[in-house]
Amino acid sequence: MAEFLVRAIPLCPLLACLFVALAGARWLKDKSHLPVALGCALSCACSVLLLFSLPPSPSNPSGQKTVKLYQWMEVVEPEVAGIPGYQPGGAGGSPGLDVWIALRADSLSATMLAMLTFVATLVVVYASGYMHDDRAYWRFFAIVALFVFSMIMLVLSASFLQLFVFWEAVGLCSYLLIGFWYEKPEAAAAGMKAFVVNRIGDFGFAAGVFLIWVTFGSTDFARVLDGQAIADVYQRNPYLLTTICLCLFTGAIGKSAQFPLHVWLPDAMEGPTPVSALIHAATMVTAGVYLVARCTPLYQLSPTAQEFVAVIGAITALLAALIALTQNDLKRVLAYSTVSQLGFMFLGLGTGSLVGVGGAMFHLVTHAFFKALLFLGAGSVMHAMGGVIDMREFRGLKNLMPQTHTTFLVGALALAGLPPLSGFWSKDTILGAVHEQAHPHAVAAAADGETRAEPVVATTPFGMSRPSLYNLLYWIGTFTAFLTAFYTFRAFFLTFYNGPEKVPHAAGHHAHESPAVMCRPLWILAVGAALLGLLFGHLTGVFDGFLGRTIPGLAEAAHEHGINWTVALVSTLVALAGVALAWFMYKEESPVPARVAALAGPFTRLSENRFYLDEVYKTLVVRPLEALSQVSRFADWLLVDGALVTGVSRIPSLLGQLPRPIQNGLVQFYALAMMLATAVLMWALLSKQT
Amino acid sequence: MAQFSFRVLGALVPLFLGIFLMLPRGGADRSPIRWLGAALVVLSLVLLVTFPLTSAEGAVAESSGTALWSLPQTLSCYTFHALAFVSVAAAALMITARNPVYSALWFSMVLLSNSGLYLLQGADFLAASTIIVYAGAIVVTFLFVIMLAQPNGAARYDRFAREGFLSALTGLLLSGVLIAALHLAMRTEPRGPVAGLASRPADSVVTIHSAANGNSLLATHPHVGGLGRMLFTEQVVSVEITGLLLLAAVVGAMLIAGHRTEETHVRK
Amino acid sequence: MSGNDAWLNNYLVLGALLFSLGAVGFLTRRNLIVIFLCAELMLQGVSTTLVGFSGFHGTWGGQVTAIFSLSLAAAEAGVALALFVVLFKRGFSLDVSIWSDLREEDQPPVEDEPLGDEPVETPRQWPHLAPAGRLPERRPGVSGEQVPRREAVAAGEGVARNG
Repeated sequence: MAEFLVRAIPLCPLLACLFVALAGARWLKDKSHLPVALGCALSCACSVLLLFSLPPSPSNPSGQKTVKLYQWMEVVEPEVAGIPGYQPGGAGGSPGLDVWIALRADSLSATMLAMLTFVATLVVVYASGYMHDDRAYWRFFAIVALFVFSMIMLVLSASFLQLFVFWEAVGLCSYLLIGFWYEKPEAAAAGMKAFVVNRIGDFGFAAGVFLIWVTFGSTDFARVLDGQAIADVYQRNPYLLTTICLCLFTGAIGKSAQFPLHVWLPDAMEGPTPVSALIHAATMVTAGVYLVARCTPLYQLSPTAQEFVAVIGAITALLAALIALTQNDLKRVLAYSTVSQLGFMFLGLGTGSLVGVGGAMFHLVTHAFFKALLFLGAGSVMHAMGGVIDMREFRGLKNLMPQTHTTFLVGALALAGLPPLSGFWSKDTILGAVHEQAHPHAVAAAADGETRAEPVVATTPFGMSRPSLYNLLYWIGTFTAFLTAFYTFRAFFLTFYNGPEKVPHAAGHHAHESPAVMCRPLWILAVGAALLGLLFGHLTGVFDGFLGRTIPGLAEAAHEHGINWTVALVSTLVALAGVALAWFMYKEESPVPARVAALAGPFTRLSENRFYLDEVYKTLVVRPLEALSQVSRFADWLLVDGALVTGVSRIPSLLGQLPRPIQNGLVQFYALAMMLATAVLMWALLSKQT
Repeated sequence: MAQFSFRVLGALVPLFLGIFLMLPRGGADRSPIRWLGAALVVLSLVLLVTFPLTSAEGAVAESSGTALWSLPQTLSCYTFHALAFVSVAAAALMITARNPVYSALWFSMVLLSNSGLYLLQGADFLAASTIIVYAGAIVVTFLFVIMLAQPNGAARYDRFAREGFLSALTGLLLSGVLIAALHLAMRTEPRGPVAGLASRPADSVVTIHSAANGNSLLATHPHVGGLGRMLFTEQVVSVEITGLLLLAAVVGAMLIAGHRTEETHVRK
Repeated sequence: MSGNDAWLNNYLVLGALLFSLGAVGFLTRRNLIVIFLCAELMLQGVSTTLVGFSGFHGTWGGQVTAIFSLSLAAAEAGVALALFVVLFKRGFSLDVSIWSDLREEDQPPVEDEPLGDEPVETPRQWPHLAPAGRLPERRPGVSGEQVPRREAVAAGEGVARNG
């Protein structure tokens, strides 16, 4: 049963993709969404069934199921000896490279699959309304189906190499969909930017995969993420694990838009809004989180990597939240919010505790719901406003779009982290886990003085002790929670309240509530965003229990950890304060925001200009690279083209000039040459005969 | 062989040198150079008939054969000489004539003399059909086209030959090689008709000749009847295919020439 | 050399000569029609050879083949003349040299040799009747338009020289 489901889940979108790609342009046309919606829905049904068909057994405690499809490549006896410190074959593995394309389903991937296919189905349904008059309707759905397939395969990957392949495939789909309206120069540039920035991260990821292969002699999860193998490597060279973790994290930084490489995600909003919701909020960008969560056994043994992940996550969360404060573009606010929330997830992963990992994964799922909801709501607004998304152009849409208003409110509350909505539970878990790292003694005391398995590193690479570092991170996280609540409700109030109704000219006859096909997915997502945390969060422990099958010890750790009521109270109060402040400043049209902005002066400008990061990159990276490329272009023109290629090619051309006049175009002349040659040849033949 | 080659070349060189001199090269029609060329052609033909070519080798030299064109001194022999002379001379004039109309007329002269030669070999039907089809139809059609395209007689391009020397050299080599090969074959191959072949056609002239050789078989159908029997029994498929070819040619010609082009641009 | 051999030998030599002469003409002449006539001459050489063999072997085969080559020549002539007509319609000339589009791109087309000082043969002046009655009315632009360019130039030069 499980095997059939695992095979069917990627197959449905793949078939839909091929069908639409082949038949879409000519026959399906404006019915192109049907096969894709059907494929996603089937896939979703299978995914939900899969959640219940991976029972753990004594021989297979994780309940994982691996379906081998075919052998991709096999290399026998690689020559990797000679790298000092590494031993080919690694920890007991056979040397060589033996990569299978296989589908590995366990509770972690099943969770991701259920979330992914569910959101994808809703987004496809929504998009059939949103994109209804687009010229390349079928192309959109073909690529979306391809994306869903690639993402499913990414999640179901059984080895790092296969994961890397589909990691690139989802990047490609992202590129195609960001640049979907390629006639728009901004969209084309944004697609390119996303692609190039991701390359930087992918380079690190690829290096990490190589390192894993060299170290472990295999890239299979089953072999690499095996406790014994990791322990062996740790014994041999602990820094090796840290290097691997950091390399993999580089890939995650690129894909999940973390601090130095986050610049592509806001620009990616040039793509159609359903794409923003599906790829750039709910699924693809969380691939980095999934990767790090998948590699939990590796990160557990590397405190340095944990701290690095946590710091990057915290910086990203804070920075993106600060930028989101002043953005006027509704979708950009949400984009920066996504970056910020992803930072939160990495903060949770960076705690290194199982609770943090569970919290990050749970935040991933809840975030997928409420962020997809918010994006689709923003898309609904954008649809109604005739493509205008600048919040200065419209306001007071509460009565115009009641359904969008209500669902958006649910999403905003979830994002702000107010109980009992889902965002509260997941964010609270993360903050709790960080708090635990900040006060290790309390936990140790609570655990009856049991010593921790890992050595407590006194100092971190960041120049302070680990507890104080995490203490700082905790407060950054809490402050970010405040900012999150504030900017979310700023956007909400600016859009739906803030004075009398105002609609831009571009809206035209579109200025009405979106059709049912767009509103229904909003309601479904809203229900999910509201109830997920309550149903599966810490109160019931369902999520941790399920995930605990793959990450051993998670369920126990979560149970032991419980709910840190202090942290929960603080974060709730902070979020309420943010909402209240937004209410005060933006509920009605008032001069307060302008005055505050003027008061904050340089900070406002800093935030408005996204901390000048794009400009910094432009000066430090793009410009020098352009100059360098000009130089190499000149060198290419002069040396390679001029001296080598053209020079060499000129020799035969010069030689060819000699017999060229023979080709004078007179057929008789050719006949003459032929006959003369024939006569001479016959003469030679005859002379030889005698 | 080498000696033979030189001898053949000795006879052929004047022929093609004469042709080269006779080729149009922009001068007047009756220039002295042209006359010189004509004289050389005649000289070479005389040489071909009389020059002892094979005597030195001895092996091939038999009772009557010392010259290239050696024949028993009979009426048919003289007839052959005369007709062959006319044929080659007319061919030489044909390829050197300035005016395409003259070329066509000289060509019909070649055809007429060739027909005589065919008659000499008993190919009476072929002789007749050559005159009728070639001289009567094809050459006349050519004349029509010439008149249509070139009513003013010799055009500028008719008065200039291209690559005259190289062409004459090619012709010299070609004919030399062909004749040399022929000579070689004659020396080494078994002689005479293969036994058991079908009868040769009997004709008044040929009968004399055949009787002299004494190895001809009188056929059951000696005349055109035999040819017809052969054509429509053994070769019937070929005949049908030839008919099909002619039909295709007719249709093709109509399609090609009947296509009206309004294009009037003149190529350089 | 027996008599029969000698006969065959003679026909073959004649055929070879006709073939070579045809080849020479084919290679040098520039008038499409003359070129084609030369090709026919080459065919005649072949026919002569075939007839010689027929007589030598005493069979009909050579003659039959000659007949086939004759019909082939007829078919060929039909198609070739049709092509000439088309080519003439396009280029207003039977000169084969103007069709040299197959040459190398940067090669100049082969130019004619310059005319020498020799007097050029002019179209014959046919005697014609003394004019009588009214001249037929000429519509402007009808006559002279279809005169091929090269012909017109040559004729004009000739007239000028003669005059």
